[in-house]
Amino acid sequence: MFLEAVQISKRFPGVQALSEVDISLAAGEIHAVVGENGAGKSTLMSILIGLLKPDKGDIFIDSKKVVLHNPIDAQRMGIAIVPQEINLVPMLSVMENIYLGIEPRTLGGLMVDWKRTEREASALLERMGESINPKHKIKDLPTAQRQLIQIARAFAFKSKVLILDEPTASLTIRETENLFKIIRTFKSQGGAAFYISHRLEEMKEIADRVTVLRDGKKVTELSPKTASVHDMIEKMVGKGIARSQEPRKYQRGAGRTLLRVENLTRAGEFYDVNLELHEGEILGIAGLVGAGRTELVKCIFGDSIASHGDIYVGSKKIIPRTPKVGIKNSIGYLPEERRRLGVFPLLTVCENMTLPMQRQIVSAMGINKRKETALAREYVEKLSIKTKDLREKISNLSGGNQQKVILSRWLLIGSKIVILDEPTRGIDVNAKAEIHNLLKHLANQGLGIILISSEIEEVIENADRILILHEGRLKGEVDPKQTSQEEILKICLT
Amino acid sequence: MPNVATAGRSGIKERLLPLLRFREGGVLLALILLCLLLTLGTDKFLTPYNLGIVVRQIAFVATIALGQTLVLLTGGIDLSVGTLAGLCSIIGSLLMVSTKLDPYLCALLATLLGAGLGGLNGVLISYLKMNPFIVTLAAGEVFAGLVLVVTRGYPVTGIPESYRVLGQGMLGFVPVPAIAMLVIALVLTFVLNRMPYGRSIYALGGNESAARLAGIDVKKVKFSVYLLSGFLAAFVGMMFVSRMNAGQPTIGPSWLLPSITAAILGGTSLSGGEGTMIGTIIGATLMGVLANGIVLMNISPYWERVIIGAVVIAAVLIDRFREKKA
Repeated sequence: MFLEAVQISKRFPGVQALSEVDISLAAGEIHAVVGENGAGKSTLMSILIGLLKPDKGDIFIDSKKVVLHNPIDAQRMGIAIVPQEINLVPMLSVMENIYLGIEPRTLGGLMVDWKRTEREASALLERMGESINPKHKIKDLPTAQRQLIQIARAFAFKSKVLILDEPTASLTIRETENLFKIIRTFKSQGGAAFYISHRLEEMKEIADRVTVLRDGKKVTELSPKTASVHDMIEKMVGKGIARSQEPRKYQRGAGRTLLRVENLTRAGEFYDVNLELHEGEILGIAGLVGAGRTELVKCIFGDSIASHGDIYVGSKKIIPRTPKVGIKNSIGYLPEERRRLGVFPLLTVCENMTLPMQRQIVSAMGINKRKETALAREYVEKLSIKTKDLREKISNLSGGNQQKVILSRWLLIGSKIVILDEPTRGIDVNAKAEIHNLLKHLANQGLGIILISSEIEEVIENADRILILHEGRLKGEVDPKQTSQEEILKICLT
Repeated sequence: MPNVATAGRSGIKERLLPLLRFREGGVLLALILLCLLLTLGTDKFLTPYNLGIVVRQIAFVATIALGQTLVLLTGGIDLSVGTLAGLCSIIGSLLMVSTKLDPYLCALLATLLGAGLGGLNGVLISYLKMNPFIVTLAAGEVFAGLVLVVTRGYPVTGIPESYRVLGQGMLGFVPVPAIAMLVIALVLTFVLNRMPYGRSIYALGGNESAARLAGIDVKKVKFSVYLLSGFLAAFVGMMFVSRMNAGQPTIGPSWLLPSITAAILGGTSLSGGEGTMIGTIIGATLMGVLANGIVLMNISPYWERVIIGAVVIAAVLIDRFREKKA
């Protein structure tokens, strides 16, 4: 089978998500698609499985033009997606999930043949080298196994083309190895796959070809045998992004101590963490998914409670039991999942900014709207937030601008310590650079910033010091000027 | 460029019907048309006597619906308002009849009891994390049962003459319950739009997790709306005692569904975060005028619920289309 998509274009209100992208896939091939968030990977894949219709362009299977109206069409042609977000029914068993909708039937199609379902599920899992009981409920399985069930489901549909969307994002190294083994077996049997991942170092190991997308366009096609991770990043990011030239004001670690954490532990999540954050400093925390980074900062802010250890803001010991306590002690937190934890989609830009500080602008006549608007306008300008109107709903803003609104929430209330958890996930390349510049600017004004990111490069580029957290323990501190992604990964894993 | 989005090329429709741009606009328009229809179609609608009856009826349901709206704004629901109003009105009546306390003091005590019972709902829902639907459904049953236990189904009579003002009095040509409703609506509107507490309610209804991270005491706010809902329901119960000169064991349940319907008609979202007090009053008014119209037009009153049900579906359907366009 040979899949080919030619000159695919797709426009969404306000953005050209894809323009004239060509991509192909041959039997037995693993074709990686890389690009920054917003580069168009998901849009392209959604088109290939019939979830979205392209504005222009055609899809050919074995040189025959096909039109995919919906994912069921795609499935019939042998194309299946293994989505990033696991898409299984947690209360049903493994075998029910694998064969949902295509259960083997008996009694002339009236009844599900559960015996056969179980037999086939066992056989399928065995071929994948897994010993999962097909009768176990999905909700009782760890994430990695759920992912495999999702793949097993694609196999049950006899798919010839898999679209793997960030399959390793939440897997450990060993689980990743296991997944690769399964992909290789699939490949040796003539299966093919599009492989989407941010973990560029995986490409050498698993991909035959790498297509780089940027801002909806195909930039180039690389061979992972010859191209380095650095080459790929360069192509992904492109040139011409305005990096801040503003000189840093504070000497590394020389500012007053804003925050001190001593032996902080939350059982099961992280242990004996010691750290200091200084005025004018960007402290990076690097580590793999599941290292305990988010859990750590949540305890500092007050979103969850440490089991022991001490937190000092300045010289004052604080016990943050709720976010309110953190906020009172001038800590601001920009959470990992913007949509779920950050924005109030029904409120205006202005309201989203002033919510935590509204008590400071309230008089006998209620909230002083003139003052509120003035404050909000000031920060819209300072952070160059692109919005038509302060009274516009925040949901109309782009991801990057929403993120700036949430950041300004903490600047407005005068936070001295700002914790940013994956601040640039899901926002486009230029907005990302803007946020990076902003962080440096804020640090120069004396704020202490903690930056968490799964993109190690992002931490290296922006932080003044980097702490490495692995499986809940600090594994050391590195100087970003003298380290590399490889070194940090090595520290994590040794 | 602020505030230029709607200038210039906006369509004729939008200029003719600026009402429709507000969430409540559609229902308000329907209400105006209905009133026009009744004024032209019957000669009794616009008489002071008829309006007095309609307004008084609306005031009871609308005031309960205001509390219900607060709860709905947080994404919850209060299914106990009806029987809570019933129970408090019975207890207030019994207090008046069996003690020599001032009847208005008795009314106040009963209303505070309502706040307490609502607060109890709030504790279970907010601090003990129980499901609001289940808690208030069950609490509503308990209240309904208690009414029967206390009264055995008989009304409480012998309410002092002096207590009639609250339900039957007029200020000029406006019935007192209508004034109470308006004052409460104005206060709540101010709180919702201009006070941090009000903003917190909208924030909580729109995104609870984010509200917590923005430093809002989510539990306290959630608890408080059930308390307020109970307070308002009990207050309406006591107004009704004054209106009927008796504590009626059967009144409560008939207020529950209209309180939700009025809020929804007025644009309150069942999933929280959207809705206004003025919208709820418009919704309640539309229902009241419809019911009145049915009587005036000599349509069998049995049709009332059919028509109101159809109107609700139509209103929500229109809302869907508008949301899609936006």
